[in-house]
Amino acid sequence: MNKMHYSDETILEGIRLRRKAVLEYVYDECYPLIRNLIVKNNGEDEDVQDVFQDAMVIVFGKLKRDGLVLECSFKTYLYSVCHHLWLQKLERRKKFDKAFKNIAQTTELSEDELIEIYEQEDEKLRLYQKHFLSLASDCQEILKLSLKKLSIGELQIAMGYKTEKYTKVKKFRCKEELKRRIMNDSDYQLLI
Amino acid sequence: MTNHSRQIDRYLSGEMNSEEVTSFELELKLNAQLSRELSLSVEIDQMIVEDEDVLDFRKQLQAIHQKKAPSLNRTIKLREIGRRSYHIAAGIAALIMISGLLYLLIPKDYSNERLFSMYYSTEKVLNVSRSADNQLVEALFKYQQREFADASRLFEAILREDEANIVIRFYSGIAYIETQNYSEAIAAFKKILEGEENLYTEHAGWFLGLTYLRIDETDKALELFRGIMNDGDNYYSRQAEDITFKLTKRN
Repeated sequence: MNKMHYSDETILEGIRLRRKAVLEYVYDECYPLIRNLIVKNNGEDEDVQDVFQDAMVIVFGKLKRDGLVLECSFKTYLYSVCHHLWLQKLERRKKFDKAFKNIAQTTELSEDELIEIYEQEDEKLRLYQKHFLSLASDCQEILKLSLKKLSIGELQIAMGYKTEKYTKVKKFRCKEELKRRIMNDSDYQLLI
Repeated sequence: MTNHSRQIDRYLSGEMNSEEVTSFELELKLNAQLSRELSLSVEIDQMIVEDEDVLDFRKQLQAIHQKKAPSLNRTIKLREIGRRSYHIAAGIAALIMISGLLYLLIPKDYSNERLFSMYYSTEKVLNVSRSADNQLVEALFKYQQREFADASRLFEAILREDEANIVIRFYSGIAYIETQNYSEAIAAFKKILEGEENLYTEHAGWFLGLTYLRIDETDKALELFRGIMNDGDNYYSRQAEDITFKLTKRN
């Protein structure tokens, strides 16, 4: 069976619309390349997953906000974003290797894109998102709902809990757990 | 949990009266740690509200990653082992539940050891975040392979470096039970209970009670179970009620 091939335009549109088939295609096509880049430069598999996901989120955000016009192939563009993201992490972790910076830069990113990658606040936000998604799903749900201006009684009903007291305690504990995970993250310590 | 958590929660939820607000805001100016923690809380809330579509997008990517790359790194393998163990554990738990029902139908005396076996299940409490270092991953590997003595040693090493790590403290308590090192298990659970409330408080209380039961310190176990039973919001309140009933009926 011939393997499906998507054009760069289709890929960008697919990412913007969160089309599963396109996202899987990007994963198949680009992840091994990014893994190679990071693992060969002081990274571990967990770093690859984080950097790849952060780069995809940056692309997604850009597509949603202002659109994205590529001046190179999508693969090259994504590689470049990942390169900068990893470079930034290495610099923070003081594991910076000059040789890494000299890896062939296949494309120049715009100033906006570089700001988004290097801006400390954006990096913090990406870290918060990662830890939020590592919480149990009921914790994610209660934290989301609690910020929708529901009363504690409404929140209790929405979550299907027995009492308001339990709902309140649960919400508090979930938030505390999220804060604990963030504060214990070594990358967070380097950001504050 | 930090010392300021409750204050920050009350402040952000609008539960403070005007005097408390004034005092809290004054302390904010003087206490850099409090100010940082408040900022973190506010930033987290903003992220949850403003980035809902990004969070959904990330969730989708995570699902794709798990589906497509099960062999890419150790952490994923660990999760898969965890999932397999979960199914096995769920099967065992179902058997335990059925045998528990049979026990209820047939009146009999419950020894502490029997009660411990009936109620001791770690299936629903083991949940660790992905951001683990190599030592932690290795410790969890040992744990999942039921090599509890090795897991204990690794947990102890992690705790020497990171004394406040509640998750690992809790895991170490369970590993101590499994290696029949009950005094250390008790110490681990007590340490969790001594701190401020966290996601493991309820679990630690329940397992501390079971550990006391296992070493025949029944009065201490009963005291704990009664406390859990009377806290209607506690995750284990029903089980505590059952076990208290059995223990008091027997005595």
